[in-house]
Amino acid sequence: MSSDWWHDDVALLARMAEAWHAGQEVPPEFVAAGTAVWVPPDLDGELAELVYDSLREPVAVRTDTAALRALTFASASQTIELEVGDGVLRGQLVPPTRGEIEVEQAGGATASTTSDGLGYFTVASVPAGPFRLRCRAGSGSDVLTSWITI
Amino acid sequence: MHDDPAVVSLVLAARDGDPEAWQQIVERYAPLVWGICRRFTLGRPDADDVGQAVWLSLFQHLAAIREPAALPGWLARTTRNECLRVLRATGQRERVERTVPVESGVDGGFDLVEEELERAGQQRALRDAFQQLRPECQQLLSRLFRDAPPPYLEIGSELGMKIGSIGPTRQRCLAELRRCPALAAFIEAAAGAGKRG
Repeated sequence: MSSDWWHDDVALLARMAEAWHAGQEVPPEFVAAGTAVWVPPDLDGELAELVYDSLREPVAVRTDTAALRALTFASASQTIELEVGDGVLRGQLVPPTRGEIEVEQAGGATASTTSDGLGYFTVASVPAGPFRLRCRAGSGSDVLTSWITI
Repeated sequence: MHDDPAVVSLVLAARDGDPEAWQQIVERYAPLVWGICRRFTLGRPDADDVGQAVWLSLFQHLAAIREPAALPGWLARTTRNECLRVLRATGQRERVERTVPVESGVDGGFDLVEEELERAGQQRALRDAFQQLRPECQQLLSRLFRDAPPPYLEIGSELGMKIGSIGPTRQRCLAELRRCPALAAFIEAAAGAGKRG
């Protein structure tokens, strides 16, 4: 790339055309997927942070269920235990609560399930790509896990 | 990399919960992310995968970004890492080694990222400046962007201009383009930094 291209009309027009084409080259869906990542700040939602991930534990500490991935999220009022195995996502809300659990991905909610009286729930297929769970129980506020990828 | 003043206010607004600002950030930097994916020879599904991971990561780190002006660099590095992750995951490692200069080793791609940052910054300034041009100039110049621009006769009849005035108008519009704040700032920074692409 030569310097001072902007002095010359022909060079400037050529760079301008290149820049314009480069902008046009980006597929609209590529941009749309990025804008879809936005979720409004959930002022009512309570964020459950990842506090345990079996993947981050040293191998020696791992239990014999090495094939499983185990994750724990915790907010002030709710703990969410997750286990992944055989392509299925199993979880439990602690303290046990009946409620609705939604899988949210970049484009919005992609699956939903309910927890039983003991707080157990199952998501039939592990979401591909980054996702988070929104747990809606009774009259309390939603609990949102941070984003994770399995 | 010269500063990108627009990005500071966009990041602050997005952080405060403004979806428009977020959209503008994505639109503004999608060509950078896309360009790096292309340089790593990623095709469509893989590039989409990288894009989503990069935007999600940015969204999660929005509050933690101390220096919004450093955003392009952060995006470029994150995109590079995600490209390498995807290539590794899909067992196409050899493609990385072919794309990336030998001296930068297996985890390289830094030069490539620098080049793309530079190019994307320049092209962003040009596109921004173009948006700041008056509509008449945008109409005329955009007709000259094609590899084989239409003859002046055709442009003249499309835009209702005399053929003889197209040349001088083109010159005037390019002069205006140079003076548009986005490009003027870029030129000043580039000229100040000495030789710059």
